[in-house]
Amino acid sequence: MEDSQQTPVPTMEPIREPPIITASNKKPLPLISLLGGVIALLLLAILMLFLQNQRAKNVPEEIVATPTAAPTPTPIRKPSALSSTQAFATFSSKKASFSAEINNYSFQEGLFTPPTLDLDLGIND
Amino acid sequence: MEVRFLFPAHLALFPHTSYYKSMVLKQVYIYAVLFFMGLSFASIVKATSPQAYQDFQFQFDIYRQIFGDYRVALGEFKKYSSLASEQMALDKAKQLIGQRNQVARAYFLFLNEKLTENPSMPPAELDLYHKIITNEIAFLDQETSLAPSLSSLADVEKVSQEFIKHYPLMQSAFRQVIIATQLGYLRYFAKQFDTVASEAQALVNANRSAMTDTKRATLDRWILALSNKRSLYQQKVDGVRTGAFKLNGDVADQDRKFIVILQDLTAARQYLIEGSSFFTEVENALRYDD
Repeated sequence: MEDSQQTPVPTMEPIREPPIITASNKKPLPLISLLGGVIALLLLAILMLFLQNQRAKNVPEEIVATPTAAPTPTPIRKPSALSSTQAFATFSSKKASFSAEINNYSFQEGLFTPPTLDLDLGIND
Repeated sequence: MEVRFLFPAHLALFPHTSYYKSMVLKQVYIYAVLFFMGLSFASIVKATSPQAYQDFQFQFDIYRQIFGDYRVALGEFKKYSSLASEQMALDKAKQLIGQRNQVARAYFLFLNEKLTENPSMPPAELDLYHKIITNEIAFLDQETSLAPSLSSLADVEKVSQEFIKHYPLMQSAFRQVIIATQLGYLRYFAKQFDTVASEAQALVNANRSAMTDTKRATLDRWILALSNKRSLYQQKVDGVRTGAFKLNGDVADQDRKFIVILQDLTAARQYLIEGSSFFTEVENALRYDD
């Protein structure tokens, strides 16, 4: 009975020493963090390149005098001997007159619509 | 100055004599008469079809107005059947019949002017269509002359029946003259086409030996293409001419046929327009060496 009424003595756990981290038992860095670092570096490099490029764009271009090339000659069709004859001139003028007249002619459909007249006077309705 | 030239010079030496004055007045009258004659001649020479069309439009406007008045008067008569309302309806009916004929007459006169102004209407055809127009106008005038003697609405109805019976023939005449007018214009352009084509052919033939083989072949192809267009044009025009004589019977049926004919006329004109662009190609090929 006496034993059962005694205050229980707390059991003391033995003090453990913290594990000593050594090179052999150190955990390796996770792969994801390595990749993240690489990506960050790449982004930084891209940003640097972009900024450099922008700066280069804003710099006014140096105008370097270049020797001007001779203009490309427009191809000129050589007129035929026939084109200076009277017969050709007559043909040309008649053709021009015909083209102008036929293109300007219209059937005037508005004028050529026969009138519709009322036939039923409605007397016998 | 002019007066001195026109009558003996010695009279100008006595400008205060009464004879001199009377001669001057005479000259003034002669000039005035000549001036007005010149004016009237100028108005005859001027194309009158626009004026004729304006007259037609004017007559049509009056017709519409009279038709409205007639319907009102007839409505009154049917409502009240009084003598006064009957007389009013009869008066309006007489006016309506006269004006209806007047509208058709004005349109025939417009077509007549168009025929006369046509640049390429063969005399035989011109005579034929003038005769058709004259006959139609005679019929309309006869109908108009009957209008004042009508004494009742029954008479009006009887006279109107004659007009109704004749109406498809009249519409056919309108359409035939319109088609003839359009064909006349196309014939005029086709003549020009033929002239230009024959000149192009002559130029190609005359200079054939001086051309390269390629150029000769190109020009021959264009000339052939022109000839094809001309044939296609002719086929359309022949079809139109045949179709024009089949325009008879029911007015609605005439309308359907007429629309097809107008489309064919447009197609025929289009062939000539395409031909004109081929002429430009021939012209350019002949103009340059390469």
